[in-house]
Amino acid sequence: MPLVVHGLLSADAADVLDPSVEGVEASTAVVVHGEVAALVTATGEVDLLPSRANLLTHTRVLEAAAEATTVVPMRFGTVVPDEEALVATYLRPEHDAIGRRLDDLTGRLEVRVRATYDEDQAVRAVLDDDRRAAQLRGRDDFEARMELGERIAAGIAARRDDDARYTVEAVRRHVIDVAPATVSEPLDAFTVSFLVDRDALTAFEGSLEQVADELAPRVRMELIGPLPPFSFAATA
Amino acid sequence: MSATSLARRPPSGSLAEVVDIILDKGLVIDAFVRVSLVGIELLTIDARIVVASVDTYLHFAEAVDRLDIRGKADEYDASLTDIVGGLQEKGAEAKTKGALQGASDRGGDLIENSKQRIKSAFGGGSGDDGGGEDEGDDDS
Repeated sequence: MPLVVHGLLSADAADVLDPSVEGVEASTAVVVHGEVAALVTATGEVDLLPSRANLLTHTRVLEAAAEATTVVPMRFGTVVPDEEALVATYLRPEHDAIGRRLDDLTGRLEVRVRATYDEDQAVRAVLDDDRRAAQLRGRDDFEARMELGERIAAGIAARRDDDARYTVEAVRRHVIDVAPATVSEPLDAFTVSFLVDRDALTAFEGSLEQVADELAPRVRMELIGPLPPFSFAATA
Repeated sequence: MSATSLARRPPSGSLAEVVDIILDKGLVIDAFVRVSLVGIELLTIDARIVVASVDTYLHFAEAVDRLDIRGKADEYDASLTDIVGGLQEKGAEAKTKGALQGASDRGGDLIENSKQRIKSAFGGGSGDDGGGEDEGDDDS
């Protein structure tokens, strides 16, 4: 039977992992080989659809496991034909590499920080700095409005890097690694994932609170997580 | 420290969040084909580029309009306070003199004056006079 492979963990941890996950129908199982193990759920389909249920299952199974132990998330949609194939083509030949990756991520979690701009504050700041934009203000012909809008958008974009860098610097002493993500909305400031030691989480959040207070109300910050180290599985 | 500007959200709260978090992330087993992601990848490539479009520009131009309107509303509130303050002063003055007729005349002036101020606060000259100007333009 085909298996969805959600993540990797140590064989020791696999022994004590509770296989049932709240809100997930499929029960998880572990396939152990030597000192490493893969966290899987059985699936009927080899073509795993990116359905709501499948996406949430993948995420929740990994979240639940990450609460108990160190997991290395696999890419969503990783399906193997059966248990034998998983061992023969992945766990056995990659045994040592998987072990090293697990060592690298031991006790570490991902925390995602998403920051957005307050529109009024952001627009006002650009108008204060950009004389041309200030001149265009109040004109109602289409050209002028387009140019004004374009200048506001550009002015906001120009602040993103500075705000991201400032935030990263403010928390850097508490983090192991940093992975910026791309932003997609005009008022997004930045999204950055941090790899943090479980023991350093409280200190990290304290520093982040400080910088969030400092940049508010211009910037609104959200903390998502802690999460399994999705953004650092392939790079750590 | 508890009343912080930092909002906290659970990870798997929304599907959009989940897609955002797990997309393109995680280890890949080279030996197996990842079959399922094509659809999602296509969808999100577009979404990941900051939308810098006509819509965005017009949206920001409107955001400036909103700032302007709010600024004018504040100006209007301020001038209204002056007017009310002035009326009260004048009223008191009139009472002491017992010249009620005079007070109402002054009141009339003040109301006229306040109309002008409200009109100028909203920028567009005055409504009535504007109509007159338009007619004048048409005639010439």
